[in-house]
Order: sequence, then C-alpha cells, then structure tokens
Amino acid sequence: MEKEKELNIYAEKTDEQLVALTLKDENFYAILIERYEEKLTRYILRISGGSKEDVEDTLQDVFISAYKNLNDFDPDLKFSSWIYRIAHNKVISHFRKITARPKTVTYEGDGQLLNILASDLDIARDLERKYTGEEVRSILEELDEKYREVLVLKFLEEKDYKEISDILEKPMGTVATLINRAKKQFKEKSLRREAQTLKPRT
Amino acid sequence: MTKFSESIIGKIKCEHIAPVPRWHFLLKGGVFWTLFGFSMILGSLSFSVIVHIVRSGDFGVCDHLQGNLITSAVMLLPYFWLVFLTLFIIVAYINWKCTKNGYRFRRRWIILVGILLSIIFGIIFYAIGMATKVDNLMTKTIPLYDISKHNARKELWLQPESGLLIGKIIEIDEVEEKIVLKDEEGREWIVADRAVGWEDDDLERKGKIIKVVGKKIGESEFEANEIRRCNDCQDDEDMGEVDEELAKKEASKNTHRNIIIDEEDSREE
Repeated sequence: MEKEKELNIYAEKTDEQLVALTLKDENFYAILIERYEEKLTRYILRISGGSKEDVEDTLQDVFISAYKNLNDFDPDLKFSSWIYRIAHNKVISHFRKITARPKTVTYEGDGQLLNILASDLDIARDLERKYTGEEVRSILEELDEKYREVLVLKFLEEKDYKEISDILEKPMGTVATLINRAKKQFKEKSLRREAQTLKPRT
Repeated sequence: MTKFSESIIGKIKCEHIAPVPRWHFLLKGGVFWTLFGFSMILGSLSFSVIVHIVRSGDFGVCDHLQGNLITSAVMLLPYFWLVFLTLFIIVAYINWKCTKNGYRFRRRWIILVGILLSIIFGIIFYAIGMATKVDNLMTKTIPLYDISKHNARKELWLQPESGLLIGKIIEIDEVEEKIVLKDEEGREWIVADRAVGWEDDDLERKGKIIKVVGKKIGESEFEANEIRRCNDCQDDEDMGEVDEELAKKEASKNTHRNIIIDEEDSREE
C-alpha cells in the first residue's frame, strides 16, 4: 500500500522523467504502463483487428520489449511515439504472420472521429450526408495497409505528422504524401460505394 | 496499480528481466556509423579511380576504336568502378537508414548527398594521389582487374594500322633519333621520334611503357607524332618496391646523354 501511495506521488511526472526513474527502480514502470495500457490496446486493436487475447498478448510483449530497450529511448522523441513505434512493429511481426489482411476495429465513439476523417475529405459535403462509424470502418478496411495505418494514426489516434513520422520511421514528407494518397483512395472508394448503392434505385 | 501493470511488473521481477545496457545500443549505433563512413571512403576512392582513368587520356583517342564503344573493354574499367561506387553508396544508404535518426531523411536525399560526398572526397583523394595507389594495388592483387586493364589498353592502343601503338622501350638510339618498342604481343617496333613532343622527358628511359600516336610506315616501323605517358601502366620501375637509390642509378644510365657518352666511350676504347 505504501509503495502504491509513493507511486501516486510520481504520477504527475512526465513520461521522460518516469523512464529515468524506471531505470533505477522497475516499480515506476507501472505508472507508464497504466498511462498507455488503454491507448495501446485501442491502437493495436485498430490496426490488427485481433482477438482480445491476441491483443493482450501483444500488449504484454510491447511493454516487456519497451522495458528491455529503455536505455535505447531517445529523449529527442516523445515517449508516446517511441512506445507506439514498438507497438506498431510488434503488430507487424505478430499479426501479419497469422492473418493475411488485418481488419480495422473501431471502438464506440470512433464513429465521431471517423466522421472527422470523412468531413476532412469533403466527402460528407459531396454526398450531402454523414457517414456512420460502421461505413467508414468498412471503407478503411478496403484501403491498402500503408494508407489505412496513416489514417488510423492521423484521425483515430490524433497524432501529428512528426509523431506519425517517428512511429512509422518514415520521413515527414513521405507521411504527408501517404496521408494525401490515403485520403484520395478513401474518397474514391466511398464515391464508388455511393454510386453502387444508388444504382438499384434508378 | 491495475491488474495488468501488476502482472507486467511481476513478470519483470519474476523472470529477472533487466534493461539492455546502454553501451550495447551505443556499440550498435557506432557499428552502423563506422560502416557508413567506411562505405563512403570506399565510394570516394572508387570515384577517384574513375577520375584517374578518365584523365589517363585514353578517352581522347576513343574515336580510333572500331566497334561498339559501350561494349568495349576500354569502357569496362570505368564501369567496373561505377559498379563499386554504386555498391558502396547503397551500403552507405542502408547503414544510414539503420542509424537512430536515419529514417527522417528521404531516400533520394540520402543517395544524392552520398554521391556528392563521394565526388568531393573522390576529387580530394585523386589530388593526393590515392587513385593511382588504389589502381596499382588492384592491379597487383586482382588478376581479373589486371587482365581487364591489359585488354582495354591492347584494344585501344595496339592498333598500328590506326596510328596507335603501346609498348615498352627496350632500346634508345639517340643518334638516329629512334627508339625500339616491344608491344604486348612481343613484337618489336622501330619508332622514329624526330621532332616529336614527349609529354615528359622522364619518359625517355629504358623499361618505360609509352603510348605513341603516329602512323605505321613499314612492316615494323612507325613514325611518332606524339608520345604519351601511360598513366595506368606498370613499367619496370613500378614493379615491386625497388630500392630508390638503385632505381635512380639505373634510370640515370638510360638517359639520352649517358647513352651517347657510353657510345663515345666504347668507340674511344
């Protein structure tokens, strides 16, 4: 109990300060785990579409791997970018082996965020209607993997270009290009889908 | 503590998992940087040898070549070094990408900067004479390279009908103003060098390999218009690490003036 109280005092420390503390005492790592447990669970689920057990296993692997590599953490990066990068790489090595094409899974409340994506593309205005979370998720699933990943990071994880660049280990210019192409592909697919749904009516 | 964080901390403690020491990552980074630097140096040396080959003067007489210039052995050497340059730039690129912040730069920029650095350092290496040393080292150690060099030289310079000749000076007749050359096929040529511009006075020595531009005037006779140094040839003086003093003595024996004096001495005797 006392240990827990002590940990609560440190809860206001920044991620980077907690990394330094963890290197001295592993118990401080619990604060970092708690900060990222939910975010990373959501992220892994979004990009892998695996079962709850698979996601949990991957998440455990992510935290153990991050702990082992704490000395490699570059303070020039945000800790969140660094741990998201580890999660991204773990998902690639875990899920890509077993599933040919990962599915996109959305949480409740993602519908609103997905609509931000749709409105960002002016699709909502073009189609004069709002997309449901389910529809956007289904279009996202059809996208090329590299495009889906950047859209998930940009619109669902709400990361900026620099963070996406650090997570995917790609230059910022490439990230910008990927996002633009992803938006274009998303728009094309949604317009095609709209045309298909309108056909039987006419 | 949540159940999940508790289980992770428990696992870390139970399995005695510890962070990998910092020196391990520093060493890993150091290895990539070293390999990157090493590839850049080798790439620059490759470029310096390209400059050395291009400046050898052979390209000025390439129009004498018959057949396809692209498939010619003369062009093989620069290609050979271009392949090396490309290879080292690719290795440098891969190592750069493996460094901590390597991903932040676009491929095209990394490659472009790699090429530019190779050019800059290649010119510096050429200026300080590294290119000749590398070329000679390759000739001595890699038989295939030596053969390619020979073939290229032979293809371009052993064309007496086209006015090009290469060979080693085996005799110098200062009185008649003629020299005797032995070409790579072992054939001897009497070359008239009247009123000929020697690229370098130092060339007029026995054992030196020279390139002659002129015309064939007989079965084994040639009239020179121009005599050039063979930059990428290994003549007798270059073979092995000969004692410098001895080499100078030997060289001084073969100068025009000494030959004339020798001839006069023998006549007097």
